[in-house]
Amino acid sequence: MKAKVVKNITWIISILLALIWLYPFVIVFINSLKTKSDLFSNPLMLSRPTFGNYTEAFRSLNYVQSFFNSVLITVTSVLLITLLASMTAYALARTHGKISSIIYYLCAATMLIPFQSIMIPLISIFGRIDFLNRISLILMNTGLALSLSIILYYGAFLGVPTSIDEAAMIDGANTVKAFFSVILPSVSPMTGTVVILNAMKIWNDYLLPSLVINKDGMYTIPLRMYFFFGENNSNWQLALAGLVLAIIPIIILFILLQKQIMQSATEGAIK
Amino acid sequence: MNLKRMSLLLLTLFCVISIAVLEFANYGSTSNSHTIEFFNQKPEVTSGYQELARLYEKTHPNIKVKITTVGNGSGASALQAKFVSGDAPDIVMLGGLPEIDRYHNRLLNLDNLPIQKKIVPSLKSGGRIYGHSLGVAVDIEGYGWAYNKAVFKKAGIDAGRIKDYASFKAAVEKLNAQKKALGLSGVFGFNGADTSSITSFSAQFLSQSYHNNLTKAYRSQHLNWRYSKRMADYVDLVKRYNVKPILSVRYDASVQDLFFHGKVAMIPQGNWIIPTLDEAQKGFSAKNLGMLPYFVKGQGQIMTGSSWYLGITNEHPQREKDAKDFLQWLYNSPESEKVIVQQMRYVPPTINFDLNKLPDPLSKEIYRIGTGKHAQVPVHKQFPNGFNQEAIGPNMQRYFANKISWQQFVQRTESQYYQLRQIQGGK
Amino acid sequence: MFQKKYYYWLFVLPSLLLISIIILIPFLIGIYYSFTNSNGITASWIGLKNYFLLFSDANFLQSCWLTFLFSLLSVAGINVIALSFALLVTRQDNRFTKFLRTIFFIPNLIGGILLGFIWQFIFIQVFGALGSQLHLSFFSGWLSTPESGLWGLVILFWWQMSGYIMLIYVAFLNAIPRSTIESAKLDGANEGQIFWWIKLPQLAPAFTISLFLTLANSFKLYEQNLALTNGGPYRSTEMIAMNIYNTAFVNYQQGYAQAAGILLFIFVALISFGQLYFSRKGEHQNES
Repeated sequence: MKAKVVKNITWIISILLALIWLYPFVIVFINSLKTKSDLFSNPLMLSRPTFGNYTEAFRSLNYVQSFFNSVLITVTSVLLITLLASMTAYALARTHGKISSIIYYLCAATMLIPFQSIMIPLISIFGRIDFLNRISLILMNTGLALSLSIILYYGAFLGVPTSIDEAAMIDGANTVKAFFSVILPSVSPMTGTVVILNAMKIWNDYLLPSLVINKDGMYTIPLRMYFFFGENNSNWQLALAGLVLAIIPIIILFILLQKQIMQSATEGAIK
Repeated sequence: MNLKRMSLLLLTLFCVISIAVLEFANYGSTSNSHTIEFFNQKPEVTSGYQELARLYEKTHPNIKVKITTVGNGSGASALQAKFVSGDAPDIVMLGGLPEIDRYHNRLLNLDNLPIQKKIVPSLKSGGRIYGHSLGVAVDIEGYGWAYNKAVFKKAGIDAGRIKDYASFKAAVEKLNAQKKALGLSGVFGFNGADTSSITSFSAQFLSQSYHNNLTKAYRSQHLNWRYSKRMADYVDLVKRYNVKPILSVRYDASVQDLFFHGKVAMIPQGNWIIPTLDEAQKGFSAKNLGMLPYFVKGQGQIMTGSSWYLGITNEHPQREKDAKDFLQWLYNSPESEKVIVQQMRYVPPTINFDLNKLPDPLSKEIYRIGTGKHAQVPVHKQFPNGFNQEAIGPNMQRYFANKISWQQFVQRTESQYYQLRQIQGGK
Repeated sequence: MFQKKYYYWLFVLPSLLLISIIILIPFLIGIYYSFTNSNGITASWIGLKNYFLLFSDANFLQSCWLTFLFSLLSVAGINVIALSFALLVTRQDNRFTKFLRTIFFIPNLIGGILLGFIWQFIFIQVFGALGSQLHLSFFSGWLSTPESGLWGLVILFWWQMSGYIMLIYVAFLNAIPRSTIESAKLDGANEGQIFWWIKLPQLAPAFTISLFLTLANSFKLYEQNLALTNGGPYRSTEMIAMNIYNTAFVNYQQGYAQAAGILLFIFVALISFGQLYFSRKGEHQNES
């Protein structure tokens, strides 16, 4: 009897907490369906829903283009990170020389440097050589993410028995081929973690792109979102529709890859 | 090769190729064709400029005009990045002499541009530095206390009789006495949350001593506090009779809600609120929007100036003529005039403009004052970078919140002004 | 595999090069910058002056203090919420609790700029409407005082991070063998005793991880700060990261801002060494 009461109470508390947790999304969605005057007069209730804000927000966000830019920058950066980090980590995991341990500790040390400590010289160097665009943004994303990814991969490769390497080599493959056809696939769970962790970070990043990208047509979704709030003219109803448009792709991806994403988040922190 | 690896390879290839194509296509496209890039820092009028570009392209088939808009305070850094990366636009909207000075050797000398002769004299110094004109005023902005005529009428106040500080104060007190009957949340709807409004407000008291010489204001290493006593009077009046808490009032709510719905009688804004008000209700500004000046020295007068100046960069010699032609058209043609005056609701910065073409009484009044002999130009656009959001804005907010005294406000603001001038002057 | 030096360097060099160009070289140049009065265009050597000025700069010190306060409130709140969530969702292992985990985790997917705008809307518009309709002064004027601005940031950060930290606690809770709990139950232990004597000790490493993860994140917090309060009112909610950004890119005091950046590095490095020290110590205790 008592157990049942406790169970019911925890159930009610859980539902309540979940509702509270989701409430910000709900309120944003409700208000994105309102006209300007309805929104100002009462943001709490739903009244006369309209999808008009969405067409306008879609246009002012330049949605298709910003979405494409975000995808392009994220995917290319993540590919590069995965490729370089896995290779380096593998080489470090298999050679236990002085150089390898120096490089390993170098990676660990650079992880301590917060972005704010290097952003000023970084932007000024790249600015001076006229190289601030999507390519340099991708290179910066990669450089900033490599250390952590190398360390994550390093742990994974230590768990791969060297007998697998030898077997691959006996088949006559050279190091590069053996690595890509046998060894890298054997740590694919870690590859999943590295991809997801970096993709989330790069997709959502605002500060670095805001410093590097300066041309109309190159903007990513977070950048567009920020410009959206005009200096003396924040149109909340449009901004909210824009917020929903920006959030939807992330939620869809999350629904598809829910398990992997939550697992990667945990692994990235614990390891 | 299995399917998975194949698709990964294709994906990589796709990314690399699109990045390469996009980046290098950009270099080619802007340098060859006759595309003028116009860098706009006012997001709220983007659609107006796009309309102008469309009109121009229609009558000039071989020219393209591309409008790039960056606002919300990011304009300045985006512009710097564009210059640094060698991708300077052709026509740039520049906010004040600090920005013009920053790029002065990358801007074209516009002394001999035909439209210069038509620009209102008091607006010229805002685009001049090192003895040359590098920018052309965008419009005439007039600002003071925007008041809601309906509220004034209901309270029995004749705005025409407010002729000095004493009568202004009396009107404020009268409004406050009838607060309940009028349904006011406060007499003033001063948006204390926005540092930019605080800065333009302060210019009502800090501008007079420069006598419209904006270059002098820009060179000045100190602020002129001659009228700080009167400034304190106004600030205290606001502090007492404003919607509370002052720091929670934001620009958009103050215009679209408080002022529009008659919940306050006055807000410290200018004619730039007209499009917003008329969008909410057609004809609102013609019927309900009036403007009172600040009484600082002698008879008060609405301040008129131009916050933005258009310059032409010298980075693309092959397009200089195209850019000049476009500016000429922008200031001279009947088609552009219609968009500028009726859609964007600008007051034109040119002399001898036909008053009857302006759609509302306030615009007419601002034109009359701005082109008149006693026009007074505000200096806040000449303040150092960061002075607005790092110094005077926060200091005024501290004063509103009773964290510092008036004397501390003056002292701190003055010393930060001096410090920023020194640093940005390279000292 | 790497008998040939050629392959070794083929695998290592590209990463090494990128890390050097993007992080190491800028970092070294940054140290130099911090001894100059660079304004982005001109610079000359002024020695340690920037550092001395920083220690008497009221705005910078205020930012440090605020960041410290924010970290404290965040760490405390997030860990309490996350642990409660974790206990709630590990009571049973069914679809409902899995669903709850998902919901609590969702805010963590959203970028800082978007989070900031969502909460700006809630604190200003929604709270404002609540305040005027219910006549409760608690809800009015949010983000317009230093206190409500700080709490606004803290609440946002709780919402964002709790679901994430919950996952870490869940991982450690799940690692406790069922049999241990079962046998404790048989011995007559109640829920509270099981939590206090069995679960909590196992969670010590999870706590260390969460602590330093939250700390590191709050020291670098910028985007949420920008979109929610942008430092206002009167720069009272300007955290270190924003202070550095504004000094460098709004005021163009780049040498000065860089000195602050180096100090930030020192803080973060100290925190990380702290983490290393505590987690090593924790491990030793577990062994003995």
